[in-house]
Amino acid sequence: MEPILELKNVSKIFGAGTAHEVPAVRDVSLQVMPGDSVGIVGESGCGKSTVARMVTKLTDITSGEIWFDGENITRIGEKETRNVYRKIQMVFQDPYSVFSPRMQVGTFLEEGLVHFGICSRPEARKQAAEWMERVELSPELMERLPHQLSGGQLQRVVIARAISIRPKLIILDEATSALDVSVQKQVLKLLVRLQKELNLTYLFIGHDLAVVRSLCERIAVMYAGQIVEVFDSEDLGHNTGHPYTQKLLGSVFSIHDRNQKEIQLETLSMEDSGYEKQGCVYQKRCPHATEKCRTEQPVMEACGTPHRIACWHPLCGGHHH
Amino acid sequence: MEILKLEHASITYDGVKDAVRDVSLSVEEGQIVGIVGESGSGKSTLLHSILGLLPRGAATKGRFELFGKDIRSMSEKDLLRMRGQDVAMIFQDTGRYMNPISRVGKQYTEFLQVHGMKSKQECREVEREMLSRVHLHDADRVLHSYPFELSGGMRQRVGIAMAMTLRPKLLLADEPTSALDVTVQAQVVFEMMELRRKYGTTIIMVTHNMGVAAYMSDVIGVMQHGKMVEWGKTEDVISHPTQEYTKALLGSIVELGDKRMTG
Ligand SMILES: Nc1ncnc2c1ncn2[C@@H]1O[C@H](COP(=O)(O)OP(=O)(O)OP(=O)(O)O)[C@@H](O)[C@H]1O
Ligand SMILES: Nc1ncnc2c1ncn2[C@@H]1O[C@H](COP(=O)(O)OP(=O)(O)OP(=O)(O)O)[C@@H](O)[C@H]1O
Ligand SMILES: [Mg+2]
Ligand SMILES: [Mg+2]
Repeated sequence: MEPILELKNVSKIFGAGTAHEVPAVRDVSLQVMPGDSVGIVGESGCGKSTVARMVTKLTDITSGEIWFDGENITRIGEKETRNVYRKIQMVFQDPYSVFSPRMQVGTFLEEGLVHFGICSRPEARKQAAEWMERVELSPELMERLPHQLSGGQLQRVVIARAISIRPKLIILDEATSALDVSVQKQVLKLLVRLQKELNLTYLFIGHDLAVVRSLCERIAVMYAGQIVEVFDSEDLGHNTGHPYTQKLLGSVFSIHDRNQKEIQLETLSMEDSGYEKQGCVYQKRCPHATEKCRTEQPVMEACGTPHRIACWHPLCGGHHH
Repeated sequence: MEILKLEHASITYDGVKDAVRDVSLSVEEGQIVGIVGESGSGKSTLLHSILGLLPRGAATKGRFELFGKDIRSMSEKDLLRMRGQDVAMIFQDTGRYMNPISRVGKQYTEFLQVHGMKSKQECREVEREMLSRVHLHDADRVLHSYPFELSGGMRQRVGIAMAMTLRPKLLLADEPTSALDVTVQAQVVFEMMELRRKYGTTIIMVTHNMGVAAYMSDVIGVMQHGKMVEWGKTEDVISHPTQEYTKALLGSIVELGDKRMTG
């Protein structure tokens, strides 16, 4: 089977050549199979949204290639782009950014359905109302303007629209973090159900490790623009090996460890941007860093399927290699 | 001392009734209150009303008392003076409250100067210090950026840093960590608790993260359909919830050990 989405050594440098150059994404390679759901987690600012925006052509790519559905879409023209982008939908981190302030949210849903030829205009109102209900919203809200909805309500409208036009791939950028846990669970269940029904593929960016794990088969961990570990989501916690993955796991607050948890503070230097020029990206924060980590950059290596890791001293299975 | 007191507080928007319905509560100085609940249940609306930030067309009923004064009868000037200094707010979507065409550093400095900090040099130092506390270490780059050049979580952290700068007496935080990864979230949780430990800051925080609410709060309030359906000591609410909705909420938390979801 061919991957539906493949990133080949993709990089993005913002402000190249200026004093504030940001190598936001560095040499990222990732394969996503049809019907798969892949999660991306990682530090705030590590380049997750930039990856998503490059796939959806909202940000141009500095180097590397992006393949979708057997086609190299890195540098295609406007017409082909439009064709591709009925098959890829993105749910943005900030739901307000996709609405025009004066368009009723119901119209927003209807427009999508009509524009992408899912149904006729007279039929669209009814279908839009059904989609509202699927994401636990009362169809009464359809006449409201975006600013008249709460953050979580608006986020669900965007999710509904993205799925309603039946794309092949949906990129969800922190799409459920504005939802309360109860609604979130409903939305996650809906995503899982529709994935099977419509054979959708998901790229799911999130901060809640438990949520990402429960939705995705595979998880990629990013740090400072690079993927540092990829694994089967079932392995999270007992068979993951990157010290940063470990650090993430140790930082989760659970309602069960109230009062017991001690926050492990890290003080980093003011000048530390995390973008190391030499060696491992995580060297400054890593408790296991050695001289080798400071001078040689670890490459992604397989240590199982689909387990891959970029670390000189991984902690897989609890012991050092 | 009682910092905030609401009695039979109700809020309606133009054409939308019952965004907040008949809420009564009291928050003591130095308390950390966590508010959780349904999306759309009125949590942000409640926080905005405390700062006098409701949009035109919104109407309030009942008593809203802050530091013993009636919020509803305060003049716009009094409210302005209070914001930032006595009461600071971390918004759910910081980006919407920032000027998109002005550099982050410029906005931060202007904010500090409005509240009496004079020299640019001094402002810059304070800004760098505050940004590093929320793990924004390349402070110079961040300050030199326009809001759109920062990631969602970076913008959120700028908002958090700004709100904490003037050591407000009351900090209102609307989803302060929802855009942050868990390690940075832990750092922000620590910094908010330090604010209380060092300066006795009272904190009212809205969050969907039940773990964070349980960890930080002395008191938890649960909202549903505009009502405060449960309010009590954190241990009690987490371990012995009395309301069906609270039980349902606690039962919906996805945890690391859970099975993969199957629809
Ligand atoms: N400006 C507005 N005009 C009309 N209705 C509004 C306005 N702002 C919010 N509402 C409505 O008021 C209710 C409460 O909204 P609010 O934003 O306070 O919810 P919330 O609890 O913060 O939700 P979330 O967790 O999703 O952020 C919702 O039903 C929302 O649709
Ligand atoms: N348009 C831009 N111009 C300059 N720098 C940018 C731009 N967009 C993003 N960046 C920078 O690229 C880096 C990665 O940003 P990105 O939004 O991809 O992070 P992220 O992983 O999605 O973070 P978060 O979890 O906080 O949303 C950040 O340092 C950010 O400041
Ligand atoms: Mg992002
Ligand atoms: Mg809200």
